[in-house]
Amino acid sequence: MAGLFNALNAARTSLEVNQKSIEVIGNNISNLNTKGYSRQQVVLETYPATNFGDFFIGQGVKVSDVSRQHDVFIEKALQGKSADFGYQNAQTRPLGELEQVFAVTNDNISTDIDNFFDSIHELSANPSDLVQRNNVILQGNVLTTSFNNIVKSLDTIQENINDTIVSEVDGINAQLKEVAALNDRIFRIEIHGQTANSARDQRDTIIKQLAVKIGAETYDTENGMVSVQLPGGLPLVEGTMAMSISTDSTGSELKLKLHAGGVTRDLGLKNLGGQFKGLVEIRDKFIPELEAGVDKLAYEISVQVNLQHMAGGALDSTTNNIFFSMPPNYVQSPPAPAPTATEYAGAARNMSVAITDPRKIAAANAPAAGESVAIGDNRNALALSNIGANYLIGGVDNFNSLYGQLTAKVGVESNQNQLSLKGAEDSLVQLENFRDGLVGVSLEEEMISLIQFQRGFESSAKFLSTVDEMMNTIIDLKR
Amino acid sequence: MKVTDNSTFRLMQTNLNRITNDLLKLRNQGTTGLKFNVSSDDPGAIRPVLNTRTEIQETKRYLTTMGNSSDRMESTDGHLQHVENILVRVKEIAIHSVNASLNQHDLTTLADEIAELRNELLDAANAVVDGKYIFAGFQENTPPFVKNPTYDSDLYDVSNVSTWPYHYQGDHNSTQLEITSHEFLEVNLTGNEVFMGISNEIASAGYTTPYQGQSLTSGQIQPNTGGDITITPKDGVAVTIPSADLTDTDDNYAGKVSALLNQSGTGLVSTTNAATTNLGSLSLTGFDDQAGDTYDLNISSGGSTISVQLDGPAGYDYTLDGLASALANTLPTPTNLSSTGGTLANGVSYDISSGSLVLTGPNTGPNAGAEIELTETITGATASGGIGGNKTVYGTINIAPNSSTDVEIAGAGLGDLGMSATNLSGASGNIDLFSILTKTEEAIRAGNINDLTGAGGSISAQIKNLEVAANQNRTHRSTLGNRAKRVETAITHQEDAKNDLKKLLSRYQDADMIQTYNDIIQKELAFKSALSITGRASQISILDYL
Repeated sequence: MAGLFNALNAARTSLEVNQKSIEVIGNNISNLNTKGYSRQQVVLETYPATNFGDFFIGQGVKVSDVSRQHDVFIEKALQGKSADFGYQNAQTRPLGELEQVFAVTNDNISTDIDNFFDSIHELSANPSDLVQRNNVILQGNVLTTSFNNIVKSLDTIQENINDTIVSEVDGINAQLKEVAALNDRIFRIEIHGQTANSARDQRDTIIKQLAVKIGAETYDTENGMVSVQLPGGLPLVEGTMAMSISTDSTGSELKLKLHAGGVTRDLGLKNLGGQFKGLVEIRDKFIPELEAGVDKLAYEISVQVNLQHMAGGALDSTTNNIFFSMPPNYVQSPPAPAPTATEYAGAARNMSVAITDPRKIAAANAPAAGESVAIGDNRNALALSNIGANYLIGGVDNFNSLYGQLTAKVGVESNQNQLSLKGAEDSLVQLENFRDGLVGVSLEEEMISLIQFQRGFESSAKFLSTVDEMMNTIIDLKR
Repeated sequence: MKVTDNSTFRLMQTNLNRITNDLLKLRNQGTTGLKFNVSSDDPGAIRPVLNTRTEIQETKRYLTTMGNSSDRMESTDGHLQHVENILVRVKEIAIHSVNASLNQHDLTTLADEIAELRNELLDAANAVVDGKYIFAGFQENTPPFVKNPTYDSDLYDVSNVSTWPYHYQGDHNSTQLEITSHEFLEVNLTGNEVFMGISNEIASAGYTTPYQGQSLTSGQIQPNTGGDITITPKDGVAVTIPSADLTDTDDNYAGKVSALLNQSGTGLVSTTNAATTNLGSLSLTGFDDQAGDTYDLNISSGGSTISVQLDGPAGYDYTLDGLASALANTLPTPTNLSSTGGTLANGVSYDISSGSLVLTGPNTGPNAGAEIELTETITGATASGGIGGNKTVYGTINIAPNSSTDVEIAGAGLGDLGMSATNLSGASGNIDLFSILTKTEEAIRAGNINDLTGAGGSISAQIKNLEVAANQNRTHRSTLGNRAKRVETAITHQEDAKNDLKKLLSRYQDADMIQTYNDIIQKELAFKSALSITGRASQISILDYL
């Protein structure tokens, strides 16, 4: 009878194990669509066999562990690609906005420049006409407003980037804390020899999100914990301790600071990755470069038009009138060296038309001493109207081609970004599919396992009833 | 490696996203007709597109400006046509008034008609187009011509504009418009040119010499002709300067006079009212005196004065003196070489005391209106190397204001010298229309037909002047006509250019609609199949088989 009881016991373990397996499969199927879920699997093990005379007989089966399928290589690759994707993806929107600012349709600064010089050209055919003189002032106003608006739009884009960064920081801090908490949980669970499957899945998912946002990098430490750090090596999570990131805004500037165990550090471009790097790069590098270019353009237009305008004579015979307000950092250039970024700064933001009286427009050549301007004199208007085509900034570009250069810069950057984003997205999808292929839940697989364990359960039950019958037979012996 | 449903759907979603994005872009192209909407569409096209747009706008502006110029020139031409009619009518009256059978009453009537025509001329000169006086230069809001309130026919002096019957209040500036890139066209005629016959250059210098005949300028001259020089005054004794004397000494003046006019490697330039005509360079190579080559400088002096100016560097001491001495040597009895003045055989006197050589033809006597003829003959061996030495001389022959004096360059050997026979006209061909009309009126009123010094300077003289005036008017009309023609061709050219530019722009920024439709159809097909495949993927499930 003892043997039969043993067999009964073995059948019980088998029933239990198959049931547990089906539970795990059920859990897998439930998490079919859970992001970052890794397929779990029961690890079966035979009960230690008992010595039965000269040989050992198995005592049944037990679940030794519920493990999750996992591939470190793919997880790391995903992390890296996520950071790339975040970097490119974050730049797409501001670049799209910049493309609108530096438009190539008919409505852009280049057209305004053309219109402005065209209005002077028109005036040259009719220099005494006050209506056309007014039109020149009007076109000048349109041009200066466009310049002011471009700078304002650049400001807005920078502010939007700042807003995005500020809104993300809280989420990042929460995630850092969660990683620390998960580190702790995993440590506590796994110290008992169990596997903290869902906690690990959760941690991987959060780390991937952190990679997208700030390009976080990780390395495993003992006790199943991970350390999270920034691309530059600054720590974000150390064991169960989470650092925090804060924003510090002074005026329109926004700085990121990392608080790590009582020490506060500024986060620069080299410390960042992912989305934040993309955003900060646009904000601190790309936009200032564009603004410098726009300033240069505004400065050159203002100064060149003014110099020629000052040389001419107005209808009231005055000379030395300026048309545009002189740029704030204007230094009388020739014969001194050519203007530099210092002189250019702020030219676009402060550009305005200084002239209000249409009679003050210097369409005529400056009159000789004691003489007055003839109203039909159009010589200076001709000279002015030709500045647009003839004057070369630094001997290379005229006004329109400088604008073309700025626009092309945005265009090339945006084009590059679209390509890179597509590439990053492709490889991310590929890696995710690869990961799914290795550790994801496949319905077919689960269904087959389900059948398998169902059959296992059925056969165990059959076995049980067989043992039961056998026991009945034995009991029926004494009648 | 297994394929999970998640992988399948993720892949499909990514692809569907992409296709819908592409479709959006294509549909945007299709509806806007533009393939170049944002800079990233084609960064390389940005500069050409911007440049082309600028050029198109400029071309449009040029076309407008040219239309404007055409209009102005057309109306100017209308007024000049009117001036022509007036001049023709005045000439008719003048010719009619020479008729001896007219009595004083008739003459007064004719003179009155001319006075009316003069007022009509004033109206034409003060013509207004688009609210502007078209003959006033830059002073487009000032009537260009007003009557001289202090006009006195006795004080009239052709060389002094303030004594003329009408005063000009405009200026000498011509309005230039840019009709194509960097091409500036004068669209107006100034009153001083059209009605006063004074060129803008002279006007800008203050009207000091209102009229100027042609002048002859020689370029660099280096003496030593290598041959003898003979100067033969008409009906005078030939003076020969042997080649031995043609070295750089103080007394070989004639050689230098000759050198002034026919030099190797120099250019003689004649200028007519600042319009420069290059007569070509002179070369003595090929000049053969043995074959009888001669070179004449004929100055016909009809009672007027001509002056010859010689300009040389300091230290070159022969210039004017030399010319005078050469002339002195041509006198029937050669006089002192250092003479600064004298009277030639034909009654023409010369004088260098004013700083120029002044030749004055006799006004009275048997020789009145006689010609001064200087004939230079180069004799001796055939010149080979031209004139040596290292001095440089420049020379100019100026003919007195609006005189009938002509300078003729002629000679058998001119071709060998690299020259061609040339007549320099003493008449500038320019004249003040108002003065002529006023003078004609005065002459007719006084019935003065032939007396040059009488009232109005005689009708017959004024008839000649009227012809000059009519020619002056026609010259300006044809100048204007040429400019109008230039504008016409430029308009055609710019229209073509505009079309080409638009084509160019279109190639960069416009979507090829057929291509776009094709692309859309292609993408839609891809989209449809992607959708259908996505749909089918969900139809197959293991659950159906369990």
